[in-house]
Amino acid sequence: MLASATHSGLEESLNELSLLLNEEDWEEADRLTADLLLNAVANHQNAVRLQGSSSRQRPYLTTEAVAALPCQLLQAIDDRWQRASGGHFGFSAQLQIYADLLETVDFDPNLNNWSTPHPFFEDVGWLMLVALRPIGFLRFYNWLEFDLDAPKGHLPALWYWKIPRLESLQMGGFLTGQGGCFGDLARLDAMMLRLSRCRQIGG
Amino acid sequence: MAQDIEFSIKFTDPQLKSDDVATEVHYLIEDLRDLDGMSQTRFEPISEIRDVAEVRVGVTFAAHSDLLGPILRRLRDRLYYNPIETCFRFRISDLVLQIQTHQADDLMGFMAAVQSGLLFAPERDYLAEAETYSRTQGELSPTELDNLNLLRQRLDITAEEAEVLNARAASPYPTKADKHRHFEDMTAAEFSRLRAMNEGPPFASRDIWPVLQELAENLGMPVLEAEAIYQTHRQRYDDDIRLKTEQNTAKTAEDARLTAAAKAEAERQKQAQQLQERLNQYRDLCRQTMANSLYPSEFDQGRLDQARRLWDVSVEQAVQLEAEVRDELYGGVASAAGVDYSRLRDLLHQQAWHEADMETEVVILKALNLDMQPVTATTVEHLPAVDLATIDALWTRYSKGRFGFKAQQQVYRAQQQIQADDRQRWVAFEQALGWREAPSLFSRGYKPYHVLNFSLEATPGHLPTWRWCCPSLSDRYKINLEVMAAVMQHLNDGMPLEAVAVPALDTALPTQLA
Repeated sequence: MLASATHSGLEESLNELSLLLNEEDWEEADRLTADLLLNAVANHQNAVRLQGSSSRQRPYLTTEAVAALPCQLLQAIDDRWQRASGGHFGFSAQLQIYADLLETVDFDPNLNNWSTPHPFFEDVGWLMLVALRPIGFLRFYNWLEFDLDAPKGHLPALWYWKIPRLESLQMGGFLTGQGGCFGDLARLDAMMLRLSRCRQIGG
Repeated sequence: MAQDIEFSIKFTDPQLKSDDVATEVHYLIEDLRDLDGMSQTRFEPISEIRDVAEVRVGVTFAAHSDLLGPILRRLRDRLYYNPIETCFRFRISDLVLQIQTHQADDLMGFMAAVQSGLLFAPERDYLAEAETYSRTQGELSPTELDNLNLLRQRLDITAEEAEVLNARAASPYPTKADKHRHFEDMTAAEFSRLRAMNEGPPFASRDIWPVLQELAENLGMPVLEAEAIYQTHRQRYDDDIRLKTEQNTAKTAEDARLTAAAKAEAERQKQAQQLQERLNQYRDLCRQTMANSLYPSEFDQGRLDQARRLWDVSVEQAVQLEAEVRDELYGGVASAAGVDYSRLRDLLHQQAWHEADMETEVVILKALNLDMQPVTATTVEHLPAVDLATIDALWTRYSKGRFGFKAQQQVYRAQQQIQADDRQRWVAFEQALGWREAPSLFSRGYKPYHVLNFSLEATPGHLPTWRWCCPSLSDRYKINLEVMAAVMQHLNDGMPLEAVAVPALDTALPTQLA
C-alpha cells in the first residue's frame, strides 16, 4: 500500500478523489477514501512505534486508530464527498444522523438484543433486507447502493467494512469484513466521536 | 627754602605833614634795623613829590623770609601805638600783597597767614608746576623734568626735596603705564559693579562714561586712550550681557519647560486618579449588574454602556474590567495554554452538567493542542497545571466541592488506602466514582457514556468524566488503565492534595491494610 505516502502523494490522492466523485464513480471513491484513511493510520502507527518494531500488520481502523485520525484529512475527504453529492453522502451526513439518534433514541448497547441493531445502521441503509436478516446483520459490501438514490449517509462505507478476518468471524460473518455480521458499535462510535471532536477545532 | 621778600612801606595818611612823614620814616627804619639780622639790610627810601618838595614817604627793603614774622610783629606794634594810615606791600616772588590800614588788627590777620606757612611755600609752587606738567602728558617727560630742575634752583629747593615733590605730583600713579592700569582697574570695577547691578546697557552707557572721563582727566590721561580702554571693557561687558541674556532666555525657557513638564505630570496624575476613580465606579457598577447573572441583562448592559460613556471609559478597559469582575464573582478562567474557559464557566453556572462535561473535553483537548486526539499516557503530561487548576476550581465552585479533580483525587486516595492491588484499586476507583458497575462473569461492568448521572445527585467525583481519554463513548465509557494511572499521576503532581485533607474512611468497607 501507500504506507509512505508523502504530502504531495496525499494531495494527488485527494485530487483523484475529487475527480472520481465528480464522475459519480461512488464505488471507486469509497475505495479510495478507505485507502486514504488506512494510509493515515499506517503513518500514525509508524510515527508512534518507531521503526524498531517488527510487527508490520495491515492497518485497520480500530477504535484507537480512528480516535487518532488527522482531523484535516477527515475534513478534506468529507468536504469532497459533500460537495459532489450535495450533502447526501459524507462523514458529516453520517455524523448528523448519529448525533440526532443519540439525542432522541435511548439505545442501550448492553442489552445485547441481537435483533435490535443500532438505529443508525437502519437509517443509513446498511442493514440487510429484512427477509435476509433474522438478526441485525449488515449488508455485504457489494450489496450496497452506489448511487444518489441510496439513503442519506449511505456512503462512504468501506472504511467501516474493512476489518480483520478474525474480527469478522467473531461478529458472525465469514471473512466478508463487516458484511453479513453485526455492526461494531465501538468503531462506529469512535468515528463519530472523532468527527465531532474535529468539529471543535473550527468552532 | 629761603627766599627774599621785598617790603615796601608807605605812609599815606593825608593829615600827616611832610616833616612828620620823614620823621616817621626815619623812626621806622630805626625800629626795623633794631631787629635781629636786619642790621645789614639796605633800606631804600621812597620819595614822593609833595608840595613841590621831595618828601620821604616810605621805605623799601628786601629781607629774608625768616624775618617776615619779627618784621610784621614790629610793624604791628608800631601801628598799635601810633595808628597811621599806612600802605604795606609785600612781594614774595611773583606774589604781591598790599594792605592799607591804620589798624594793627589787620596786620594780625596777615601774620596768621604767614605763620601758617600758606603764604609762603616754595614746595607748593614747585608741586603745582610738577602736577601741571604731569597732567598734560600723564607723566613727566625729560623736557619737563629739565624745566622743573630750573624751577627748583630758582625756588632754592634741594634735589632730594624736588624728588619727593615730583613723586607727589605724579602720585599716586607716577607713570603712564600705572595710570593706564589704574584707569583700567577703575573701568573694570565700574563694569563689574554694573554687572552686579545687572543693569541694562542703555543705563550703563549713559552713566559710566562721564564718570570715567572725569577720572581720566583727573589722572591726566589722554581722553583717546581712556576711551579706547573704556571701549574694550564696554565691548566685553556688552558681550557678557548678551551672553547672560541668552543664558537667561535659555534658562527661562528651560524653567518654563520644566514647570510645564511638572504641571503636565501633575495633570496626568490627576487624570490617572480620576480615571482610576471612574474605573472603580465602573467596577462597582459591573459588580452590581453581575451580582445575579454571569452576563448582565440587556437593561443592565444598557446601564453599563451609558456609564462607560459618561465616565469616559474606553471599550477595552470596560471589557477588561467586566472580565475582572466576572472572574472575581464567578471564578477565574486563567489558562497557560490559551484556552477560553468562559463557556465552561457559563455552563457550570447554569448547572448544565452534561454540557459542561462535554465542554471540559473540548477545553482539555484544545489545551493539549494535539489535533483533538484523546489523551494518552504520554500526552497527558502536557496539560498545564494552571489549566487543570482552573477547570477543577470551576467544577468545585459550582458543585460546592462535590465534583472536580480534587474530589476524584480524594476518592482515589481513599481507595489507595483500602485496596492493595493496583488493578483492584482502579476498578474500585471507577466504581466509587460511579463510572462502572462491579464486573461480573458475563459483564465487565462498563456503562455507556450517556447513562452516567449528570446531576448533583451523582456520587462525589462522578464529574467531570474523563471522556477526553476515550476513543469511543456511546458503546461504553471505558478508560485504558495505563492512561488512567498516568492521568491520576499528573493530577497529583499538578495539584497535590493537602496531607490533612484525608477523607474519612468508609467504615463499611474492611480495610485490607490493617
